[in-house]
Amino acid sequence: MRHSYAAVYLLALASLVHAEEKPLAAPVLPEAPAKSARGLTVTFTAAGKTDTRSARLMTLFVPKGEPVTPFLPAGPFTAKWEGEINSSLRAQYTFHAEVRGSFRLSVNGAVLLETVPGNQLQTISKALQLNKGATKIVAEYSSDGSGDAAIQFKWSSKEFPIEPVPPTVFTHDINAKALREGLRLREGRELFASLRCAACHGDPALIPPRGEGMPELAHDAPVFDELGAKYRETWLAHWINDPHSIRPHSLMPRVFSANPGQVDQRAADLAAFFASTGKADETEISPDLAPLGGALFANLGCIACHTPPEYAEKDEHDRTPLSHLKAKWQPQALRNYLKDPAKNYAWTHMPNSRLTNDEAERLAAFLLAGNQREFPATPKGDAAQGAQLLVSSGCLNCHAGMPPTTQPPLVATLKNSWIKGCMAPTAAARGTAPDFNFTPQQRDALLAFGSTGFGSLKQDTKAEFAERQVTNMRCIACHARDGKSSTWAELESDMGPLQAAAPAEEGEGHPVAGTAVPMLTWFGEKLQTPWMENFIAGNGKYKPRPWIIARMPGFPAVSKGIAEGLAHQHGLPAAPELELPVDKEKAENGSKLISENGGFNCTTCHGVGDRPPTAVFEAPGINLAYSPERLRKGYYHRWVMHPLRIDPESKMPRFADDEGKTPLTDYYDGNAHDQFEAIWQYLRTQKK
Amino acid sequence: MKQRTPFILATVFAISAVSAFAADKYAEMDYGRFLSATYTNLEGKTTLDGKGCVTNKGIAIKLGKDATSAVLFDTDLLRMSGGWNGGWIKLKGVAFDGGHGPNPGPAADAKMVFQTNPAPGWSQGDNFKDPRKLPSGPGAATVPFGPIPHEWAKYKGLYLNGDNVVVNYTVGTASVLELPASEESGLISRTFNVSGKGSNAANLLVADALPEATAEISADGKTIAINDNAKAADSRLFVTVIGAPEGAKLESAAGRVSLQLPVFAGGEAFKVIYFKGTAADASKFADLAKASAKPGNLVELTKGGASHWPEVVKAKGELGKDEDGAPYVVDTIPAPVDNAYKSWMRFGGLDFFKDGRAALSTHSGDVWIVSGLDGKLENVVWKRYATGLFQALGLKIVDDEVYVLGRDQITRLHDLNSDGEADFYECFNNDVQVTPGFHEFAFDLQTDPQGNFYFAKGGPVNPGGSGWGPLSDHNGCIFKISKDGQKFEVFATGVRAPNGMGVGPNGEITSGDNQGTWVPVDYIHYVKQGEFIEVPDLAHKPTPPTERPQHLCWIPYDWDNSCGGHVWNTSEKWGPLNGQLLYLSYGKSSLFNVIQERVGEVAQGAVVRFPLKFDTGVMRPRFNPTDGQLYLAGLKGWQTNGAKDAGFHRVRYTGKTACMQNSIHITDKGIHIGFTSPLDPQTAADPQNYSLQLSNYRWTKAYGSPEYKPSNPEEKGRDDINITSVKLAADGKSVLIEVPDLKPVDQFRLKMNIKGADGRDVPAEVGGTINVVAPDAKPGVVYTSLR
Repeated sequence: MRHSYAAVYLLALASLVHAEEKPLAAPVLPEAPAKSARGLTVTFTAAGKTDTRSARLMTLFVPKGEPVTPFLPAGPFTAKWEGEINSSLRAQYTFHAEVRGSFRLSVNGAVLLETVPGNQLQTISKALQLNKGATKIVAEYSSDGSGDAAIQFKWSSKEFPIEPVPPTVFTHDINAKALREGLRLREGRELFASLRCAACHGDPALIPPRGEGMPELAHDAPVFDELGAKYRETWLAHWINDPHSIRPHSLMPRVFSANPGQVDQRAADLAAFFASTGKADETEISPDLAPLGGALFANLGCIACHTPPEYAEKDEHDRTPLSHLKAKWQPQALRNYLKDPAKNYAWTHMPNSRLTNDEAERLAAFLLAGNQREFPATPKGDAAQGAQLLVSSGCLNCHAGMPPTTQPPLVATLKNSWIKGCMAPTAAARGTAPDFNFTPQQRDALLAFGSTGFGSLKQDTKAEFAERQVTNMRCIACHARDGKSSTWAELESDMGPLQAAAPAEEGEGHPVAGTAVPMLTWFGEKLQTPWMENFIAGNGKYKPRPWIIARMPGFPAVSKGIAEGLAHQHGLPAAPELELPVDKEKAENGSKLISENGGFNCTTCHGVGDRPPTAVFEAPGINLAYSPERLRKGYYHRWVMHPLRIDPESKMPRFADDEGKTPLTDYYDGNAHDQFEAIWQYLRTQKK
Repeated sequence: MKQRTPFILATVFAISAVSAFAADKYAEMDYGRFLSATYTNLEGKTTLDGKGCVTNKGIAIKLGKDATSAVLFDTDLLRMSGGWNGGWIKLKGVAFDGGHGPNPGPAADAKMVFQTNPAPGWSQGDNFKDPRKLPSGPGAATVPFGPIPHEWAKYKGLYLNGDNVVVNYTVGTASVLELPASEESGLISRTFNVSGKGSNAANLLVADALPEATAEISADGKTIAINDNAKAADSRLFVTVIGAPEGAKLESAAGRVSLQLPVFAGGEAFKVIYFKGTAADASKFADLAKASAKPGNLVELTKGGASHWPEVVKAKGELGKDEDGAPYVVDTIPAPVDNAYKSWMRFGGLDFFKDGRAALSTHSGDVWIVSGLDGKLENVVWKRYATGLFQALGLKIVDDEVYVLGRDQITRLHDLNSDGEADFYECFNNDVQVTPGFHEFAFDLQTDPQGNFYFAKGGPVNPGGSGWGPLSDHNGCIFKISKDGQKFEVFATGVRAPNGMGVGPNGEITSGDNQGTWVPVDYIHYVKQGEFIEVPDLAHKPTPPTERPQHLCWIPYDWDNSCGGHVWNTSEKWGPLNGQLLYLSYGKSSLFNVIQERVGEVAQGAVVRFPLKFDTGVMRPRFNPTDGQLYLAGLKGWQTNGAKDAGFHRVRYTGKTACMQNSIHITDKGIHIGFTSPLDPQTAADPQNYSLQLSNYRWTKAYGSPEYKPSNPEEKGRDDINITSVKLAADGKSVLIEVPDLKPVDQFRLKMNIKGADGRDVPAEVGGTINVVAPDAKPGVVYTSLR
């Protein structure tokens, strides 16, 4: 694969030249006062070009032959992180860098860590006292491109063992102009791909073939599969007429321009056509099931991404409204959709929650209950007319992947500098072109991106893909990250009434409701990439935490990219970690160390394989037999050494003291790392 | 035990599947001749859902030298719940195999000879009806708990003499000694000696057979045969009475067999014998009964017998090293883990005799006495003193008499023949109610200056942890028992798992709790008589409370997730912390100093962790009266970071300068912290060396609470607070950490990276609660307590 990246880069350069025949101009970014936010600024340089973005961590992993950012060519590059590191009070820390490449860290202008040049693996560390508050840091890294590029930046203190320096202690100026420019380019690039601009404005010279380049270029749209069996005609007409009035973030443009407040006849015609394409199963779902569905809505986390169906106000969490569902769905079709949302739309943001039939029916009952938004009658549609519009209006470009027929290719659109058509700043200038409801910022972002010549569409980085999808799939709606609560956790008071209407059974063996799902912050460092990919896809063979009602829903279209990208974000390769054969001596000691016979009593709360835990109480643990398959070994050691350092709410005891010793001096003289390694070796022998 | 040898390594995979799980120490232990616990019947049913020998406060007594038979005595109802052949008991449950929910019951292979259903073991007149009130309030059980009225019958204790266990109780005004025994061919007997005149007629509950069974009663009324097995029509329970008082006779009504007795005149001695067979065994039983010995004189068995536990354990303690100038070091007194009786060492109670010896009780029901607690700890000797108590998680010595708290009662132990072992297990008070709930532990035992006793009892948390089992009136309460043991009262309600409390020199009652349902995190609370504390479900009020009192302080979850006991430092030999309250974390195996103030009537304070390490979940602190040092005992019985099953430590003051936080004031200018000795001015006066975080908790029925930002109550986390300056007092012994606009908050965490004047680090973290902010011109009063 690696040689193909060089080819990609050459193609990218060619398209830059091509585009420069009629370059777009990036709008000038206004100055903005400095504003501090979590994270760092990182500027990459390659082949004389620079690109800046923000970074959660001072880490990266770039496989040999791949670019460090979508906007730079593969090969040698440098990276420069800038910002501040914050200490809650004056304290002594030791900083560590594990680097494949060359690295230099400066603190307040003085060099603290510096490797020798080269691309070999180097580990350096040095202690430093940080003053309270923010201390300026600059880190410079370079890779000669001869191998994988990697860096992990860690620290330790007398209070905690070595760990990646967490995102919560970094700050940077998010209004720095270069950073805003870099972020704007990324916004424009993502809009271009996810809005499927290329579906209508294809251009083989600028847009890579399907399946290559930026993954989102493969973003599909819902297949028109017997829509009449699913949706109600009146709603369809309103939806086609003005999607953003129903779902503000809809990717679908408004294609027909009716007078405000009116439904365009063409929308009604298309709706009539779609209504004729299937026969609805009109079997009602008992409204008595709604309270049970409401409890599921809360307990499965639906509420983190959607406002309840009766909720009509603007939402501070930017959740997708559902107040139109009663008007939209045929009941049985909704039930079926909930069971398999991706059936007709692979890139849907709606995950597969692996609902049982009963659960889907209960949820559907809840989603169709109560007072919801009403949609007035629409003009009577002409199905035959609608059938013609389906082709002539370009619907099939996105919804069926049909080649565009009437729209100009991308290069041709540059001639008008994107001041007409879809990108027109005003309705008058837009004319009959689709209305994507762009904000001025989005339009500027698209222009800025267009000014780069589209070469970045032909390549991508997994780290950035993962970050985009973490946002798109709203991962942080359910998972806390970088010290920020999940949306779900912040909605606990809203969940109360829903849960109270159908209380879950209590007692042993009954899973409990709750929003305390694992934090996203360390997933890339924590989970084995193949396992994570499988789990995100919703294909896990087991549920690691069977004691909670919530379950990880499946996002199969993006699971691989997220899993690999998160690993790269943490400076780690995505390939499975390999280990030497099990050390039997250690495994034997490990079997004692997890036991209640002179060990740490791990087995009280944790099962091992088919042996259940002996006495779980309030705080059940994950079956330990899963650990070697699930966890990266480095993270395992970090976790058991100081669980509360990672998760302050964890019920897992900390057995190691600040010196790395445990009270169990009979094994390895109390050396915690060696004892935990013995447990790891033992767990490797256990059947999952 | 060091690392395994290669020989053992060869078997690694063969043995690992078994060895990794539950401990078997409970199965190997020699429990002595009896064991107090809550018991199921043979089918595993409890008093909540079954009949037969189900018993909430049971003493399972071994019969025969090799314990081939057993009986179960109910100290609430003064009834013999059952007797069986085929072994002693099946050890199941939290104190044994760690199981959540099960209780022990008759041995798995037991062949029941007789059983009685829960009812008074002695009638009033002809009335065997249970006189106890049902518990009341939300969640209450539908069966009664606790002892029957004292004037009806009352348990007094048991005598141990050789293999014999004699139970002692009153029936009305008469006193009864009862000796169970096994005899030839599977006979089980009960010998009774009565002293004192009875106040009214009282009949003995003998057995409960099938309600529809027709009894065959001999003409003299001394022998009965009755079917007690619905699955075997031929099955018979044979009972006969030997030496019965004049007019006594066996009767049967609706399957209940009773011995009708005249009003006791005093001096009666009789024996009831049981035999299980078939209808064809009538003559065999008659022969066996004839051969059975006459009822003996049980008074002879109440004077102490031969030693049961002659083997002592000798050990050498390990002194903590103090060469680095530490003011406090930890000495370790090795627990007698390797003892001849395989008694499982998990310490639950601790106190000292006047001569400096200590008594420690264990979760498995033992009491051990340890001597040799001198400066060098070179000749430590452990001696087993008592056995068979019901999860002994509290111990107090008063006037050199040992009082032990079990779930069932406070037991006062007597060594009648001065052989170093208890012979009389006197029931000091058993008014507390016990349900079969596995989690309703009884914790700690303290006395106030007037001699009243206090202990606390948890709620019956369901197995797995969510919700409660059926409630008694005593679940989740703190109790006060008068000095003479005669008066028992509920002192306060609403505690979940209060593993430890304290009573101050001036009668201050403090309690704590474990994070869990309705308990956001652990806390320290000053208890007022009659108050509700924290858990509405355990308030024992018709309507659950919607408000709770303020606590002295909440304790950050990462510092303490499972509380231990409290002790006030009344020693003049333990450094500069006189009058301070000390607090233990079982979950984090840590010792804390508690600094506190009173602003008017409001108490508030914080904890400061001693930089000391303990290898078990320390939870019972006491000062030794002879050396004035602090001793801590604890165990690993539920979740803790302590790794050793048992630990016994001495926290010894070395005489070196201690620079520790010893006072606090919260005012509108900031937080004043006082220290025991001068600080290093350079580090102490620099605000760079301090940080402050604030957070609140939610009081809900959820298990614990995350922290929420006061600045945004919906967002998890803590607020970082700006410290504008730090002012060091002229004497160098206090700082004012200036924080404008302080408001009441559940949790503050004050971190300080400063040094004492001697250059040693000062404990770095102070965590507590702001209940009220006083004007700086009129701050609260530092609270300490000394006699």
